[in-house]
Parts: sequence; C-alpha cells; structure tokens
Amino acid sequence: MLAAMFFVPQGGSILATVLNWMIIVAGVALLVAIASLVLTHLRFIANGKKGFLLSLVLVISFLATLVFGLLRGVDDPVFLKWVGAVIRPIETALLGLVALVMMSAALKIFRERGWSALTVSFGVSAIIFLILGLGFLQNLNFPALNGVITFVEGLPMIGARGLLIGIGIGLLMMAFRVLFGMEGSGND
Amino acid sequence: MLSTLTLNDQLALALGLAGLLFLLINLLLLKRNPPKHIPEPAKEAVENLLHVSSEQGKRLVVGLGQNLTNASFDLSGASGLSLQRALLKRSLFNDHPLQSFSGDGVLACLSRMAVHGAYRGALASELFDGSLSQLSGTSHMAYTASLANYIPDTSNAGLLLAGQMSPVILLALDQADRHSLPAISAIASLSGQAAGFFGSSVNLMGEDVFNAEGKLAQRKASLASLSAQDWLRITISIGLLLGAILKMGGVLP
Repeated sequence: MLAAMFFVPQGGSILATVLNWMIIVAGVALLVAIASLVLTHLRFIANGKKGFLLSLVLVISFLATLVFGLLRGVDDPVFLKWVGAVIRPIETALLGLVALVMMSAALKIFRERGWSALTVSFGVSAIIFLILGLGFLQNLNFPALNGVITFVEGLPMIGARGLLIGIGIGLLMMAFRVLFGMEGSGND
Repeated sequence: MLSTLTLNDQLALALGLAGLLFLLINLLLLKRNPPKHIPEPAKEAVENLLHVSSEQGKRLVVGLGQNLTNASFDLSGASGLSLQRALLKRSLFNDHPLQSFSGDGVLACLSRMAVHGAYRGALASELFDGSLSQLSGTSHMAYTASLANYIPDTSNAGLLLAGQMSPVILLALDQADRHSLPAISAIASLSGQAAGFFGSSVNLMGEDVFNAEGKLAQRKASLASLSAQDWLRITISIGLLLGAILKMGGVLP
C-alpha cells in the first residue's frame, strides 16, 4: 500500500480497490456503532437512568428519521427538507454561539492565563493582523512598508509549518507503531 | 523508478526511512538500558486529572474527536485511542470509570475494543459496559453539542480532548470552564490546537499531541518512538538549515 501510494501510476488500481474496501468497512463500522448507541440508550430508558428523557428523544428521533428515510429514500427532497429544517437552525445557532464564545475567549485569556509572553504576543499579534486585515496600510503604497507587511504576513505561515512538521513527525512514529503492531490492539 | 517521484516524494520517502531506522535503533538501545522517567507538564496534568478522578470517585471524560474516516482517512484521528487505553488501565476499578465519546463509526468501534480489551486484560470482563465508549454526533457540530451536553454532569472530574477536532470544540471547552472542570486538549489539527488555548485548559501542541501516552504508559515501543522523534527533529532541523544555506548560496534553485 505504501509503495502504491508513492508510485501512483503503477499502483493506482490497487489503491482504488483498497479504498473501496475501506469505505465498506467504515460504513459497516458506523452501522455497528449506531446500533450500539441505540441499544445503550434503550438500556438507559429501561433502567430509568438519570436523563433518560434525552435518551427517549434520541431513540424516537432516530427511529423517525430511519423510517422516513427508508420509506422515501435518502435523496427524496421532502426527506432532505425535513431533516434540514431540524439540523440547519441548530447548527446555525451553534455557529453564532461559537462566534460569541470566541470573542469572550479573547478577553478571558488574559484573566485566566495572566500577562505572560504567550498572552501578550497573542494580543499584540491579534491587533496587528486586525489592522493588516483592514487593508489601509497596503493602500498607502510605501514600498518599504509593503516589504514589512509581506514579511509580517508570512510569519503565521512559518509558525504553522513548524507545528505541521511536529505533527508530521508524531504521526509518522504513530503510523510505524500501528504498522508493526507496537501500538497494541484492543485486546492487549 | 525513483526518478518518477517528485522532490517532495523523495524527501518524504527519505524521512520515512530515516524515521524507521531511528525507531529500530532506539528499540535496540532500550533493550539494553531500562527506560528513564521523563518529566513532562502534559503528563503531570493528565496524572493530576487521574488523581482527582480516583480520589473523588469521579469520572474522566475523554473526547476522541470526530474524524478518522468521516471526511477522509486521517490517522491522526486515532491519536486519542492509545491515550484512552493508558488512562483506562489506571481507572478500571474507579467508582466511575473513564467515559469516552467518538464522532466516527470506526473510531467508536476501535474505542469500544480498547475498553473491552482493558477489562479483559484485567480479568474483569464482567465489569465491561458498552456505554463507557459511545458514538456521539458524526459532524463537527453534532459531536461538539453531544460532548458539551455531557460535561455539566456533577460526577465528572475532568475533560480530556485527544484526536482530530474542529475549532468548534471551543464550545465544549467553554462548558468545562463554566463548570470549573479541568481540561486538557491534545488536538491533532492546527485550528483545534488554537482553540485549545481557551480558558485555563492545558494545551498540547505539535508532536506533543502524540507523546502524552508514551510518557504516561512508559511502554517500550512508545518510549523508543519518542527518542526516534527527537532524532528525526534534529535531522530535519539540520536539513532545513543546510537547505537555507544552499539556497542562499545559490546552489539550490
């Protein structure tokens, strides 16, 4: 598989086949996980566990979606509209909440973590990039200033590359541990 | 055949082979020398969480993320599994064992296998409960909403986020902050790592995301890969410096 990924022209067909296998396995795994989830919540309801009403909502909504989907088909516009009418407002509300939480997080970082090198550099860089984002400085057309702006705008990319190299190294080692069975299976 | 590879492919191949070589050397070295104790802030933070959990008889909540096979296959999505196993081994017989949430079908099945394996390994299969490893929503929003809903439970001792997550996970961290629940984030994406700075949570960055288990469990394979990582880091740093010098000298195009 590794060799096929490097030599795509020669190993392309193998990759496509294995990818199909992976999609099937992932689909079956999702079904197993959903069945397990529903059984767990049915058990919560049967035992009257604290918060079992939420389990009831989950099971009812799951069954309604399943039956509706089976009867009308997953591509049916009415089915999609019905599911979308439930999911979209919730997701939009959550996104709005994320915006508010991010704003409060920016203020809270100083209260929670104090005035450290990290928090000060965060605050300063946030202000700098907010100003750069306005585009006012770029419109002044000073060649020397434009050079500085280009340099500053490249800084986040340098940091991100450093972090990505770190993530890549960690991932490579984890992949080797998985590949050679050193990571340990669920049965160890 | 190698000539058909791009420069990036050749570099990736060389780094992969170097990583493999370093791992094998470190495994051999570890056979001769017993593993050392590695002090590490993240390890201390996780151990503190475990301590609180066992002392107060409360539960540790682990979010394993929601992307192993959801969008595309991403191995970093499984980074929380080894950490879950290491933590679970220490909390098997607590009043409230560790509770994990996965937002991906494959991840949920693997996590369940890990939980079952831990109980079977401790000869306590009868204590295994499938609800200890649950599937939550399979999208960013649904996963975060499901996890955030579980956090206010008074029997929780702490929150650990380990795996591939979107920055929306801020909502879960905010919820933990509001309920004074200590949180540690070991998120394997850049935007997720930025979100991990929220509130007073301990945030792991870069390769540390994959290191916490090695430092916690002190398994030979994990410790060898930690040393191999350091060697690889040094190799890459030297390579980058050499590349910069050659580029400035006009040797490289």
